[in-house]
Amino acid sequence: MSLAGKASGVESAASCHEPATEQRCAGCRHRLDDRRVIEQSVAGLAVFGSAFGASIGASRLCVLHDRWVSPDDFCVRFSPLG
Amino acid sequence: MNDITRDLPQNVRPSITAAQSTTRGGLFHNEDWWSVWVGLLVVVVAWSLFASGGSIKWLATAPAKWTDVAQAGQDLLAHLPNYAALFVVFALLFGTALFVLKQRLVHFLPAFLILFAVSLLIFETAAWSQASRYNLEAPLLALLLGLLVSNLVALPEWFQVGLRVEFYIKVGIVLLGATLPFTLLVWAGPVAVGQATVVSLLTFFVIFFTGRALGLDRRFAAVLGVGGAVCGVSAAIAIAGAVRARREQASVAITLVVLWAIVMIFVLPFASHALGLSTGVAGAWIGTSEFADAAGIAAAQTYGDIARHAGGAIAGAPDAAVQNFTLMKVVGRDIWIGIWAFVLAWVATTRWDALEDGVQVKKVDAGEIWARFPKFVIGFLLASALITWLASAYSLADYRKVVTPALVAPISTLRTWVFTFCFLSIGLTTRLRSLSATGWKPFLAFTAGVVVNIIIGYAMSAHVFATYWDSLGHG
Repeated sequence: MSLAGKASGVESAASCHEPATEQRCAGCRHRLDDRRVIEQSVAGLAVFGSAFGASIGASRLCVLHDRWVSPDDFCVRFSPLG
Repeated sequence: MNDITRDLPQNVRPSITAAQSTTRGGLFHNEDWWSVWVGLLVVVVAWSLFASGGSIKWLATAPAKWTDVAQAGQDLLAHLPNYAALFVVFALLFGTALFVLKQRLVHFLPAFLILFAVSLLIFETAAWSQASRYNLEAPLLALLLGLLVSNLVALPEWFQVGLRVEFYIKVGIVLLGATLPFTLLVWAGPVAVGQATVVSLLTFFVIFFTGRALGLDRRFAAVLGVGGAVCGVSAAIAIAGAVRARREQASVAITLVVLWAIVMIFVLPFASHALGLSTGVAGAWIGTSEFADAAGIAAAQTYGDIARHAGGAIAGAPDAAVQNFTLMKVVGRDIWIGIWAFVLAWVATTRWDALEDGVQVKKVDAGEIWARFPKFVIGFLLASALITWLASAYSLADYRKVVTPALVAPISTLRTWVFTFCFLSIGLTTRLRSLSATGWKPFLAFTAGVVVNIIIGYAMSAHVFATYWDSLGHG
């Protein structure tokens, strides 16, 4: 599975204005919240670690940027949950 | 399907409700808390039965030593009801936790049945009177068998649900707490923290600055550094999230942790033996220099087993290896992961370049420290405190005569079972072909940290604090 390519063409500049709460990563459809899929997406994660443990906190993968994000992060590519 | 979701596995979308994604939490939301509940439930039930004149001995069964196969077969048949009951209890406890965590029970139960049956065979093999002559210690046997199977046979996807390495090791560590006096934790804590802090900081900075000198991105170097310095895969994920690293950077760090952790499972016990280290010193060294809890427990238990069969050639109590490993790794290193995450998140946000793809970090939240804290440590401490409080009513002689055989020893047996599930799961989840290609720069940076970590860890355990760790090992 290659998520990295999805980040290409992304605008380099984000809005300077903080978005409303509902426009943050927490409410974005690009944020992958399924912990089973996170384990499948990060090679070796389940060998000595877990996406179901405490250490991952609220961090999740953004499948658009192929990057770890937190619920309060944001970017100009926000897309609301369907 | 649009261009964003088409790369994800079938039936999976990054689309859940906003409310779900941000507000979940609480005491049943992750494996750490569940390891606390499962471990403490076992301890409390064992304690209640003990207090009413009973014991969980019947349930906590393990194969007896045997010299010929017929004897082993008879022992196995005689204890089949015990093993069946043990499977049901473990399946119920783990199954409940995984069901709440939205794992598929229909996959977990058959997978766990296989894991249990193979673990029993491993136990039986390790109980052979000649097993130690061939280094057939249970942890190594489980690990090697798992590695062999997973790298030669394509295991079905449903079977993976039963291979919860981290969950099993955390439950085992909580149960381990019930066998350690709380006073020992209080007494050993400051030294463990001091030694771990020195080695962790040195290892982190060696990896970080070597990585930077080789041209690695700061975020990547930080993920590699903490992965090597603190608690392996868990640390790599925590820091990748905290500094908003890219997915492949976490994958590479995890691959390096996995490879080195597995190498060290074999190297550290045999190096300790070759260097003539006592079990207490070896446990502290493994705790300082292994990269993952599960790998370290495997290495420490292997050394304890080697000592048990060495006829007094290795100084210290066999159990001291796992005991001192846990003090060093869990108390000395693991509990700081939230602090590392918070500090590096702050540095990344305020000192490092903005993310090139436009992702904006709103704020650095001190809540990260608690959110990422390894909660199973709380269970470990509570289990220790509970048993210590109970034991305070007994003299030392009565404790050894009454409490140990009826309460502590059966809990130790259950812990050994859980650790065996873990070791077997490590092997079965380590598919070398599926790990990321690391590139030579990250490999060099991480390996520089490994070398420093091993040398400084050895010097501090076997020289600077040798008397101290030895004294704990004889206690």
